[in-house]
Amino acid sequence: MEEITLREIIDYARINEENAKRFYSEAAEKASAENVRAYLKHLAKEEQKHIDHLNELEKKVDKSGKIPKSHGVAKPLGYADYVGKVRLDETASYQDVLKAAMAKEKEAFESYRKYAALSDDEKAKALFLLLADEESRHLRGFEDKYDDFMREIENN
Amino acid sequence: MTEEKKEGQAGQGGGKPKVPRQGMPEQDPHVRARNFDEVTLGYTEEQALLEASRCLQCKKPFCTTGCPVGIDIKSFIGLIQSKDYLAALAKIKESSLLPAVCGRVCPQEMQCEKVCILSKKGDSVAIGRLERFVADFQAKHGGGQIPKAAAPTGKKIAIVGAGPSGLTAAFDLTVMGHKVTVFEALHKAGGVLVYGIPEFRLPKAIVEREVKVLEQMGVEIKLNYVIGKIKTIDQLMEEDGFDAVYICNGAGLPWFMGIPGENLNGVYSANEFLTRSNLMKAFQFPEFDTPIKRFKNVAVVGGGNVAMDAVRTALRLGADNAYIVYRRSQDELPARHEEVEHAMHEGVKFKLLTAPVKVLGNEQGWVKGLECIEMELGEPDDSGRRRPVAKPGSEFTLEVDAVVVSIGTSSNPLLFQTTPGLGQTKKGYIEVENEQTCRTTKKGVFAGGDIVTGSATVILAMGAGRSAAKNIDQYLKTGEWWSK
Ligand SMILES: Cc1cc2nc3c(=O)[nH]c(=O)nc-3n(C[C@H](O)[C@H](O)[C@H](O)COP(=O)(O)OP(=O)(O)OC[C@H]3O[C@@H](n4cnc5c(N)ncnc54)[C@H](O)[C@@H]3O)c2cc1C
Ligand code: SF4
Repeated sequence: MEEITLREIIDYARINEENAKRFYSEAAEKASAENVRAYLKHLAKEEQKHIDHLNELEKKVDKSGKIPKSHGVAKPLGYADYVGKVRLDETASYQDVLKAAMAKEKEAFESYRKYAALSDDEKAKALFLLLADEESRHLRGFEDKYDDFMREIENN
Repeated sequence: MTEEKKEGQAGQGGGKPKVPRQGMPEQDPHVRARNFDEVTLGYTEEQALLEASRCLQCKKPFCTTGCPVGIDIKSFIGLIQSKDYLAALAKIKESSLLPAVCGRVCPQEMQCEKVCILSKKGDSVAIGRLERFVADFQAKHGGGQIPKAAAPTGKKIAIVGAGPSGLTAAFDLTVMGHKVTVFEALHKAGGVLVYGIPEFRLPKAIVEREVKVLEQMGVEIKLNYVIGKIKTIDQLMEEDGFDAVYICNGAGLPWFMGIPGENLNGVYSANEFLTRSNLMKAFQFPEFDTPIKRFKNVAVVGGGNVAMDAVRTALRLGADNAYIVYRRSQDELPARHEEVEHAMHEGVKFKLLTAPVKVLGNEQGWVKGLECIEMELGEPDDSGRRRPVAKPGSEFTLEVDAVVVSIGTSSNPLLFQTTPGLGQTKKGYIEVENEQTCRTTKKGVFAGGDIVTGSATVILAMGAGRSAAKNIDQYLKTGEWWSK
């Protein structure tokens, strides 16, 4: 893989988060169910928090030249692998939003993993892995929510 | 051939001789797995008397506190002890309209029997079985009268949905002297009692008998009548002169998993599968030739009571193999223990900690398999729960020609779309002031049962019907409403 700077990696991650934020904001405009709209707006805000977090990370990396320690990778529940693709339109339900969110997090997780594997530079590799680990925890958060939701309906 | 389930010895206080909890006579599992006759056969009079003799007639009977509608259990069992079965039935009917139904399908082990004093040291009194006994006694030997209605009040009430909630409200409102019309979308009254719960757990003749009593009392039941399509709620009130409406149309819209292949032929929701079997008489094939294919191998996805009903129905419709596919462990199966046990005895195969991944189809677009993945329990999370996580690379295919999805239901949007001003909760059910008053956000319109609570139980739906009737009566007298 071509040489890539740590800053460029963080930029790339920031663009991903910005895209996700836009995705949720636009879906919120379309959704007709009030609770779904509110949840999508909440997710857009969460993405902003991720952007803020990346800004902090950039400062730390700039200052120390070191990659912070990862909090570890979260084991997936497996839902993201098997729920089909969903488009979020005006009929979107809470379940649809969770599915779309799982798909997004999984895609990000896999792309960082892929780039980590392709990186020769140790620091670049470590940074990609750090980002992948963070995405794995986001993914697991959505999978847990989906699991709770499924449990609730299946208990009926 | 019948067999009697062995049950443990129960302690009994006061130095009386110990009488064990009386087992329930049942059809042999191998025989019943291939017929639709009722699985459990009911107590004989001798068994009922022995079982009733176990009741301590407590000064403070806990059992009643465990009953969602507060049946005076101690008194009705006391009446069985003195062999006055019709009076025992009348005592139950003071609080519950359908003892023959509830005696069969209520989860007593979670309710009255759970708190019966005897359960502290051994087996509780078999309250549900005794309830069923007195109801069946009357059905067999006759007796009891059609309840009389009060003088007509001149008020008209529309009930949307003829499930247990609607039937209960119709009964109470008629007794109060109001003129009741029930609108039912399907061609039979009874709701889930006729289209969901299978014949082998609840014979349809029981529900038909109860519906007939209502008709004899003067309740009008309009079948094949979908409110929201044929007429709206507003039309009922503004054009047809109904003074109040009770919406109790259940929560029958199925959830699907959202995995690839769910649109193939041979994939059903549990609701559709059970409805085809129950209402279209697929279970009497070949006498009734219905559009339900003979499937050889059926996978039912889910672990609740509805899933157990579907998988046991699949066996009875002739499947060689009927599977339950459930992503969690046995401990987490939401179905009643008794139903799981019945299914196991009948030969249902349980694929637990197994999640469906994809439905596979043949060239004609029919199901030919269900791809699954094995799960294992992950590390405990903050709450201490161990969620099942996928075991990478453990995918396998279950060869089946039908998949029945039974992972829960929600509300149908039709009434919300056609009734301006009808509030909806976050979870998509009808918003009410509270479950006691049943008042919705629209004046004169009440709601209760599954459409308010989400899928629950027969007795809760009946309890809601009773509360609604009381509050409708009150509203007709005062015209008072609430505001948010
Ligand atoms: C397969 C199955 C097994 C179950 N087993 C048990 C059990 O063992 N024990 C237990 O306690 N509970 C059980 N339940 C749950 C229980 O049956 C329900 O909680 C209960 O029936 C709810 O009653 P309800 O009157 O609110 O609604 P329902 O019984 O759902 O009745 C609603 C009625 O409204 C009609 N309707 C819907 N929309 C319209 C419309 N627009 N216009 C006119 N009519 C309409 C429907 O056709 C239906 O007849 C089971 C449920 C299912 C599906
Ligand atoms: S708690 Fe049990 S023993 Fe006591 S009155 Fe109720 S059924 Fe009888």
